[in-house]
Order: sequence, then structure tokens, then C-alpha cells
Amino acid sequence: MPVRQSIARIATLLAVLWLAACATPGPIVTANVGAIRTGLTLTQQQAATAFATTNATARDLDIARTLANPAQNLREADFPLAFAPDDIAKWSNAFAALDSYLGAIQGLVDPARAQATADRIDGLAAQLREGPARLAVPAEASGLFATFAGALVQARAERSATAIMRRVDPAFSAVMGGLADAIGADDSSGLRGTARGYWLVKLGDLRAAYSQLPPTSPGRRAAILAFIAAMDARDAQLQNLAQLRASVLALGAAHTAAAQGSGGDALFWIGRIGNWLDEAKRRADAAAAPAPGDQP
Amino acid sequence: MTEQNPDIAALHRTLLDLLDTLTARQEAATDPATIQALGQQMHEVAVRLTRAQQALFAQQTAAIGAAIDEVNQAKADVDKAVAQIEQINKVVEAITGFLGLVDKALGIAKLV
Repeated sequence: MPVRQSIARIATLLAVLWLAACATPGPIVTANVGAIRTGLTLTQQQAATAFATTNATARDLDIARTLANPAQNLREADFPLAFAPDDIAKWSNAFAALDSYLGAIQGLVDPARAQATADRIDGLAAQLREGPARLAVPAEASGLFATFAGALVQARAERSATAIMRRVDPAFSAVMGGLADAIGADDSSGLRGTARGYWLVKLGDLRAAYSQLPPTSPGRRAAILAFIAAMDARDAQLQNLAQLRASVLALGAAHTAAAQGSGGDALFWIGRIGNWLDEAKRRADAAAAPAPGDQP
Repeated sequence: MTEQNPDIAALHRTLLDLLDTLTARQEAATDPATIQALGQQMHEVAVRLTRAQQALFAQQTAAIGAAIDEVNQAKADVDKAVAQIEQINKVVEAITGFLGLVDKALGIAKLV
């Protein structure tokens, strides 16, 4: 009987320790890093699309300017891009580094790793119990010990992950802040300012084309519809860029919250990122649909 | 936030202001030739806006280099932490394997 009581006490102690191990801020990391990583991938895609679209517009404007120029020669300097390919590649590498870091954190806190420890300890207990030595290792206690060891490994992994996330958080925020700056704080700075400037020129071209039409021209209605469609497309693009910036800053906030063990805050920011990116995709799809007045 | 070169950022903003001014003049114009000429001027401003944007972005890109180095260092630290956990599993596995060999040896000893 005393042996049974001892086993019961040990089992109770292990259960308490297991619960204590589970009560670390670690599960917040496990729950949120995957979502931050997904948000990062979506943000990278949106940023890459924004860079590519702006470069395509810059090229269109370069071509229109050159065509209007009477000079019969071409110079490379007349066809600048808003975003140099080298710089775009550096951002792509930066996102790859962030993704790789988050992927490693995900791997570190992967519950499968802790389960593997538990399984191995269970195997060791079985070896002791069932081998020729026939050691008296009660199956219930060894099972509980294996679970406890797994939980300890998980807790240690999550504590390590949290410590590393806290240390790297300023760098993570700096990259997100850098991208937010590149996008622009308002429609008169950064990419947002450039995009708005390009739309001013495009609308100017449409205005100039309209001014050439005689008052009786049947083409006036189509020209007006094209002007309105351009205004709508401009508004949609500028709104997308504003939300992309908000998403980028939210990713930084989500990382900070997860690193500080504030799961609720991290989930709040991740939820907002998801909503913004869904909204941006909906507007992009709407912009890709035929505009009023377009030929079917 | 990254440090931006205030001169290029200011130039970028000045070019945008100029485009706003030209747009206002084009909207106010009544003569098609003036509207056309102002449109061409806007293209001249736009190509300079593109160059300013490119210079600004190059600076913003250069500014994140140190932060990315830190992220790469963090990745190495995570890999180290994973290796430590793997080491725990390897030790337990090795003990289990060793005990298996001992058990086999004991089994053989019993047979002799």
C-alpha cells in the first residue's frame, strides 16, 4: 500500500508540475507565429504587386512623354523606374529572412518535437520494464512522467522562442517601419505620393484628350466614363496602399504583442491584417473587372 | 521608422505640389492647346518624380540592412535552441538503445 501511495503522490506532483509547465506564455507563441507568418507572406505579395504596378505605370508615362517629344533619339535615362530592381530584390531577401526566422520559431515550438521526447522517454521506460532486468516501473507513472517531460521540453522551447522574439523585436519592427515609410504616411509621401502623382498625370492626359473632342463628338461620353473610371481606380489604389501600410505596421505590433506574451493583442492585430488584406484583394479584383463603358 | 534623407523627401513632396498646381491650372484652362501643353509639362514633372522616388527607395532599402542582419542572427539562435532539444531526444534514444544492447547481452549470458 505505501508503494501505491507514493506512486499516487508522485503522480499528483507530476500533474501539478505539468500544469505549471503549461502555464507559460509559450502557447501564445505557438498560436500566433503561424498567423504572423501568413500575414507576412500576404503583405509581401501585396508590396511586390504595388512595386510592380507602380513601375509599369512609370514606364507607361515614360513612353507617353518620349512619344510627345520631337527629338528623334532614345536615351536610357528617359525611362527610369520608380523602384530599382536591385532594391526590390533586397526587400524580397529581407522578407525571406523574416519568413525564415518565423519558420524557425514555428519549428522550435512545434508540439511534435515535445511529443517525440515524451515518446522516447516512454520507450525508455518500456525498455526498463520489459527488458530482462524487469525493473518495477509502473506504467501509469512512467506515462505521466513521459507526458511531463514532453511538457517541460515544450515549455523550454516556448521560453526560448519568447526570449529570442523579444530580442529581435526592435529589428522586426525596424523592417516593418522601413516598409511603412517606403509606402508613405499619407498620399503626399513615399509610394502613395508617387502613385497619386502618376494618377494626376493620367487624368491630365484624359482631360487633354477630352479637350480635343468637338462638342458634338459621339466619343465624349466614352471619354467622360474613362475619366470617371480612372478616378475610381486611383481612389482604390490609394486606399489599398494605405491599408497595406496599416497591415505592415500591424504585423510589427502583432510580433511585439506575441513576444511580450500578450496573445489577445497579437490576435487583434492579426485579425485586422486579415480583414485589410481581404478588402485589398476584393478591391483589386473589382479594379480588374471591366470598367463601365468598356467594350464587352 | 527609418531615417529618410530630408532633401530627397522634400524634393519628392515639392514635385507632387507642382503636379497639384499644374492640375489646378489645367482644370481652370478653357483653351485645348493650353490644356495639352500643361499635360506635357506634367509628364516632365512625372519623370523627375520617378527619379526622386527611386532615390528615396534606395535610401529606405539601405536603412534596413542592419535590422536584417539581426533577424538572421536570431534565426541562428533559434536553430541552436532546436539543436539543444534534439540533443535531449538523442540522449534518451541513446540510453534506450544502450539498454537494449545490455538486455540482449544479459539474454545471451542467461543462455550460456
